[in-house]
Amino acid sequence: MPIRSVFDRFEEIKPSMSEKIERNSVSISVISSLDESGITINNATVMGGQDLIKDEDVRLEAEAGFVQLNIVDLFELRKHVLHSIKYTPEQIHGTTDLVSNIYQVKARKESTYYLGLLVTPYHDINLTKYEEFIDFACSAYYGTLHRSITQMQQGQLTEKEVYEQLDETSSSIMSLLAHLLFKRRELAGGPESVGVPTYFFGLLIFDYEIIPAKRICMNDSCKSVYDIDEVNSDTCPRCGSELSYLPPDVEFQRVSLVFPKESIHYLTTNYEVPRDIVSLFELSRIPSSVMLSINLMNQEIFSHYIYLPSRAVLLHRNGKDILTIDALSKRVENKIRVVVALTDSVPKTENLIGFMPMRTFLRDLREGFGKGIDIDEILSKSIVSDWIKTPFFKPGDATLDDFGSLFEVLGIEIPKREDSLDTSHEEESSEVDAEAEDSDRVAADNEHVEVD
Amino acid sequence: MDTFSNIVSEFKTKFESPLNQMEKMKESQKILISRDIKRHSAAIATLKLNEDEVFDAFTAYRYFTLNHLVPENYNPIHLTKDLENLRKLIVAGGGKAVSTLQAAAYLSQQIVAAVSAAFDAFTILLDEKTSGTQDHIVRAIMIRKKLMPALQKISEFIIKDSLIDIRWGATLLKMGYATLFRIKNTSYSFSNISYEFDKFKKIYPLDKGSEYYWDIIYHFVLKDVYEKLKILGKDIIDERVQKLESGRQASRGLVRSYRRPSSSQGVDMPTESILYDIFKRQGTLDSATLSKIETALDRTFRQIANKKYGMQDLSDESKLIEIGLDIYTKMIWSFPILAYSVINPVEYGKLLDNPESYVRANKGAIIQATRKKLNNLLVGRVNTRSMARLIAKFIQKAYGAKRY
Repeated sequence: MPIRSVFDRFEEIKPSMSEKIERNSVSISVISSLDESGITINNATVMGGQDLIKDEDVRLEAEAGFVQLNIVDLFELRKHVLHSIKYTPEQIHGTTDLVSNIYQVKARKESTYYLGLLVTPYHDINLTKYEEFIDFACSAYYGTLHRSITQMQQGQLTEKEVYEQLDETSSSIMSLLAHLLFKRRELAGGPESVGVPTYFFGLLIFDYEIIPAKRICMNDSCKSVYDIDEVNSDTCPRCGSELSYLPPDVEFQRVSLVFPKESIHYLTTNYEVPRDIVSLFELSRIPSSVMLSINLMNQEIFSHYIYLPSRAVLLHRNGKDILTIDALSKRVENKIRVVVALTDSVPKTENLIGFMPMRTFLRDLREGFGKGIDIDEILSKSIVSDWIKTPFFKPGDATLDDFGSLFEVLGIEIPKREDSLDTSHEEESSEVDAEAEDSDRVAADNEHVEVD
Repeated sequence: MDTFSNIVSEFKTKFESPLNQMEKMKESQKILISRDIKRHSAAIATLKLNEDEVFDAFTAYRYFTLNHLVPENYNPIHLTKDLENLRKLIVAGGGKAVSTLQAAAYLSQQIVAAVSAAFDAFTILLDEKTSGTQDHIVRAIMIRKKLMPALQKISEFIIKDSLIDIRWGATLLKMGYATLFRIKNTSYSFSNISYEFDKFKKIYPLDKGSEYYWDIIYHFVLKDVYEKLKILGKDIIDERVQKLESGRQASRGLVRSYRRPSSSQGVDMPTESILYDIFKRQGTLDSATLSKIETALDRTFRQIANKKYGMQDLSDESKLIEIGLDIYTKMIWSFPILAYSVINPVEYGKLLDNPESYVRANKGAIIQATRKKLNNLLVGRVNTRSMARLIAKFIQKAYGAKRY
């Protein structure tokens, strides 16, 4: 006994931080596939998060929420397709020690679409590696689906067996994902690579106003709304019915565009109106249908945060090109200012700043934000000091609907509108394929971004 | 375990230019091959092959059996059929027609890939089961890490410009497991490649596409093999788990005969000869030597991690630091100048005056300093490679000191 007592303190088993994080992490996969035979299979799995989802009924409810998502058209981006996005939280109410980030990636194989969502306090999940895994998962799921349905058509399998085999494939891949994420930490850290060199073509400065979360009475005849701090119980003080949460949100107040003279040609040929550029960030925000489903998992926790994209990779619909969005936000009371840096691989020939200096710029910006320096002062001392900055526009401002009036406001001569770069780019693409492959390799070396 | 890794490494290195080896064999063992052909003349008559093709196929048979690519009792007629099948598959996959001997060379490479993957995946099973990973995850890791890449290699890369039917690759993976079971005297039914391939064609309706790799391995190859593999590895896993458990108990003070566990027990000091060369003789430390040191250290880390914790890809920071501490201090006792990289700069003078006596007098402080240094310098993701790199940096720094 005397020997044991020395070691007694080791016997107390406290969950380690990594275990705690694991229990607060949820991995969600939503798969939607349409087979040639016309069978549509939607599948949603919510895995993990024992501390977050306290009740199996809640898990089922959340799964039901996710299964209804139309993941094919989840984002209404017209010229781009979502590749991967990381959302970082901004705490609006209350205090919790573990704050979750949301990672979202989308993959497609033929007619199978796969939406991978990861809600985890880990902030260093490598989007590139996560996306690779989801691509593999989507492809493997499609393989099993296509094979089993072929076998079903040949009379070798029953419909029930098809579903069983699909479940087996998806659950084993999901377990593997959880294992790699939390036990091995293989999908964390390391450089983010976007494959092709991109150029920094503009900045967007957004001002948002926070709409705090509310509690709403579920009784149709009462419908009272309370501030989140106003009530402490889960029942309505007036009628005693159940109270539900209305998650917090942000309202777009105004935006300013900052861009170099060199990118004017690229902007006017690739975007119909200035509003399209603004909508790149606006449409990358987490779709409310997704947020509502996430909210279902734990209303108490997720009603304390708003989520804004901190990094997004979008693919051009017309080929291999990519567009990246990196955002920094700073909150002052009930306002949030978000600075969004946009880079694109399309303007190959223009004399623009590369991706790495953009990252350095963002780092300086973050530092400046931290010290409370005004944005104009930061910009004037940075690599974008000679860029053109527009005044702030309200969301409905007509100036955002025409490049002509935007340039008039700025006193710049309206550049002659040429044919869209998109089409010329498509024609070029076969010629530059070989070059692109070379640049891929170079890019793999150069275009590395350390995860924040 | 060592037998397994030996077999795999032998497999990987032995068959680098099978075509040349077979061509030589064709000349040097003409008589023996002709005798084989005579013995099977009745069966050969049914194959509709010309004389050259038959001679090539029988040369391949000799080569395959001598090198244990197929079991010794494998029928030469079956191998001839296998080669004909592969030739057809190459053309069907969009490749140019190849000779029988060339097909045999390809088949040998495919078999090597399949057998190595089967053995490597078994090693993963042992490692993961020792750390208590659940079966369905172990299966998934085996597929993603080893079996899928092997199937991809067999189906896409070994034969350039031709996509080989994935069921052929899956059949070969089964054959890889048959080889493993044969070596371990476990029963597993696998008659011959062509027969099993025909069987596969009946149960798996699709032939090409990387999207089916996971499916065919998960649902058709590994399903009936996995439980057998677990039984096969049970003894090794039990032994490792027991070792881990007794280590754990010892550290909790439950076992009286407590022995200080040294991480590097049973593993020699790595890179000793290189260190001797650069610190005791006039060797130079250039970047090639440095990378050699790094690789050797990484290997040592993995070996120790495997011996001690039953897993090669150890990423637990504190465990890695313990191993690193053990390795580096061991190096310092042999090459005292290495202490230069870890001690406080104010002590440099004393160390450089007489490294041996300094180290002898300050053993405890050096261990503490090394631990502190390792703790401070490790940032970001810690794994065996980053530890190896850090220790190589220490060696580089000490080498710099030696020059003055």
